[in-house]
Amino acid sequence: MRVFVVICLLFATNGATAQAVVTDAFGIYFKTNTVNERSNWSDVSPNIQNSALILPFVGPKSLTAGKDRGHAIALVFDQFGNLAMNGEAFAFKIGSSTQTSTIQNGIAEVHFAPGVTAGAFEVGISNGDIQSTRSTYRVTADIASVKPAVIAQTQDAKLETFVEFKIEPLLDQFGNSAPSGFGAQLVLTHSDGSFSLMSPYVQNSALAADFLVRDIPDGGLLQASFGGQKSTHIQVNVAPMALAQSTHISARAMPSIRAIEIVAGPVLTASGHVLNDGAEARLTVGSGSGRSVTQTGWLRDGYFKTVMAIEPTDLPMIVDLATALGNEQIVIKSLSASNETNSGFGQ
Amino acid sequence: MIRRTLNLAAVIPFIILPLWLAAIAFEALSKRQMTYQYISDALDPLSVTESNVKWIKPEAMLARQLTTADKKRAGEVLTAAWQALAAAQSTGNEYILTDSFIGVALDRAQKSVSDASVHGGRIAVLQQSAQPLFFHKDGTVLQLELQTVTARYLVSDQDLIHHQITHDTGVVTLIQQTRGWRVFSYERRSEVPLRLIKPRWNRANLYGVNYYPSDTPWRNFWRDFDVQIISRDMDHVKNLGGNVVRIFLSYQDFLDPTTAGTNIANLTQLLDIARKKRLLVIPTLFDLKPSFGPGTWAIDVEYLEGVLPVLATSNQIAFIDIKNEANLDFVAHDKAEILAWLRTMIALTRELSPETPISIGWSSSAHAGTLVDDLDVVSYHAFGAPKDTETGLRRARALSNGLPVVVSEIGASSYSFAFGLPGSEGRQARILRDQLKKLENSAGVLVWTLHDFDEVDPSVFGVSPWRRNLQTAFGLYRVDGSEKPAARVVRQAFSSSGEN
Repeated sequence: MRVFVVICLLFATNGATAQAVVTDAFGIYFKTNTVNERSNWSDVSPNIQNSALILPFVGPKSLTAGKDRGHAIALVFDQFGNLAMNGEAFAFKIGSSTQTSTIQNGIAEVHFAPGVTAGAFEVGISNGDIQSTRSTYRVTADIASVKPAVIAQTQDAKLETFVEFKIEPLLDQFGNSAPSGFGAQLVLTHSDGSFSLMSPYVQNSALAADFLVRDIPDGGLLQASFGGQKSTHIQVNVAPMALAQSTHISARAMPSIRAIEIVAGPVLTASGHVLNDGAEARLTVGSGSGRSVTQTGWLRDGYFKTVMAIEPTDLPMIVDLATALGNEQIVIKSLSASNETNSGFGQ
Repeated sequence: MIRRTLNLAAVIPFIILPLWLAAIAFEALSKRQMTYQYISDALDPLSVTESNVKWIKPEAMLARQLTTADKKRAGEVLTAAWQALAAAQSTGNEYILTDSFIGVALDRAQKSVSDASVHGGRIAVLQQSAQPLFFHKDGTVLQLELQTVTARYLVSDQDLIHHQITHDTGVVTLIQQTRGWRVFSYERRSEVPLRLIKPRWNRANLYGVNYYPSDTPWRNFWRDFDVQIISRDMDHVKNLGGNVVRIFLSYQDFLDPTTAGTNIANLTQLLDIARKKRLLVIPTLFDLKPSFGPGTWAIDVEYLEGVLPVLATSNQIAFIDIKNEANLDFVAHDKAEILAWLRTMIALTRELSPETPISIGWSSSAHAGTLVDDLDVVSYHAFGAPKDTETGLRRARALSNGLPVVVSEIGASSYSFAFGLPGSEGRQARILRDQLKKLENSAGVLVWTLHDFDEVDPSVFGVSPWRRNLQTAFGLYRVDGSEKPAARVVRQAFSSSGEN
């Protein structure tokens, strides 16, 4: 008897019509001569059939290698949708191992250790010929055990160039690669106490960050942080800047005002970049009569341009140019006559 | 002769017009219809409870801790699920089930709805408490032992042909989906009928009034509750020789969580005043309740859970009137559904307040036999002519199956539009004297009402000025507090009845 039947004598006003009333979890109805599918529903007096449907649930869906415990359950019903009978045993095949568990209120469950190898794994649950669909879970690297190590530089970094800082391989205590997408932090602490921060993400089990070397002639100390672990500090050295070649210096006579205009540039670094705008330049011109005039200013687009109050005929002139890349000197022996146009430079 | 005829012609309209208008007023009153200006006024405001699940600690440790948020969300879906099932069975519309049910439970709920359309079966889960049995570690499967109080009934062609209320125990399995928890399976494991024992009726005859303060009738009673006014008014009742007042616990005021607490405290104060004045109280529950569908019954139980603890512990309760003039809702809300609701609320009231007698204030003695087996006192209202009053009492007694019969509303309006029509204070006193005389042998009589009112609630009586004006003048005391002739009549009747 699967349903609780209340036999009620319901007397209609016109006579003694008796009808049995059936109640179940979802309501009440008259018992009729035709078979009602509700008579198969488990209720107060359950009579459950053999298990027919196993619904697997496995979680958490992402387990940490060697640490988290997984929870696999089977929600089991008979052919009529009734929760399976208490005590029935079910086999759980989890990865390469098998465990068994018995049903309570339609649920069988096992707790399992996920193993130390990262990857996707399957769970299957069965009872005799009845099998569940496959359910999957993932095991991920134990990020907390990854010890980041920054690869040391093989040569000094050059100012105004990008340098790549790299951390690899990122492996946990079991040799599993850190999954792509995890974030890390690299901190380069400068000699004056300030710092530069880089936030790269894991790609192909490695971290890489490009860093523009600028305004840190003394380099700094680099440290990586990943998954709660920090690397040791490594020294980042920066090669001093140098001139790529002698700077072109030209002079033009400006006789009407008894002066000369000098243009120096481009001032190029050994890396092929012009020295940055605003970099200080100092130009000293010593004339043939022994006068010396000095002008200071800043580079713009790699050039320094100035007008100096020196008689154009007071030759020869010794021109000294001082920039961050060093000092240069040239001698001007003659200046072309100028009509004060842009032409007529001499050297 | 011609002049006399002309004079008569001039006077006749002044006589005919008031009579005609009064007739319209009485017709409107007898119809008990309301005209609304806006559709929103006519719609029932429905309180939707977020979760009515009471949680019980699990017996064993769960694989995952059930947090307060988990309980809130699971409770909400269980509450909504039973509301949806009840509504679906009532309406035949099963589409609302998919918001709460999936899998096996959805199949079974849908089948129950299709069966309900054939058999007339209905279910209403009134109360539920849940004890967690199982919670999956990743929070996707939750299984609970569910203990419910559940009403099941069968209706057919306006008749209630079966009704039962049971304590059910079952196992419900919920599955977390992207849209939240859903009921995947529910199986009942046991059912125990409510054990209801009727208390003995041992009250002396009841003489009293229906009561609202003059300035704050109907909905304003609890909103502007004034202890001093109530205390003074109860002195008036004592002065009339009364021993009971009938009050009305408006539905929304005792359900709305923002006002219920204050109103429960005020109800306690009122009962305390009654105790000090040696007055009994007849609390009328569910006053101005808007709807009766089984999907809302669980909310009604919350109302009972709010007011009954106060009433159950008071010695001043003469009896509880479950619903004022419930028979007037038979047509609009389906008689069978109203009867099922009444039987359910009677059973729950009896379980929560087992020592308190229960009645229903029918609008007419014709209904005195309705649900008489469920009640402890028969009560009805008698506003007709005195000869009908006597007939009504005789009929009520014949239908009462031996229960005491209390006429919980009698009275007449003294409202006069013109020339003492349709009523007057003198006429009111005469009607009351005759009514009280005819009801001398009842188990109780209560006059409607203690006071006249300046204004009556238009949401109760509609916008018709005739109806509203008539309702303002049923009192024994005028708005200014002075006695009307009817008060003396009532005092005399109550004192002589008391002597008897």
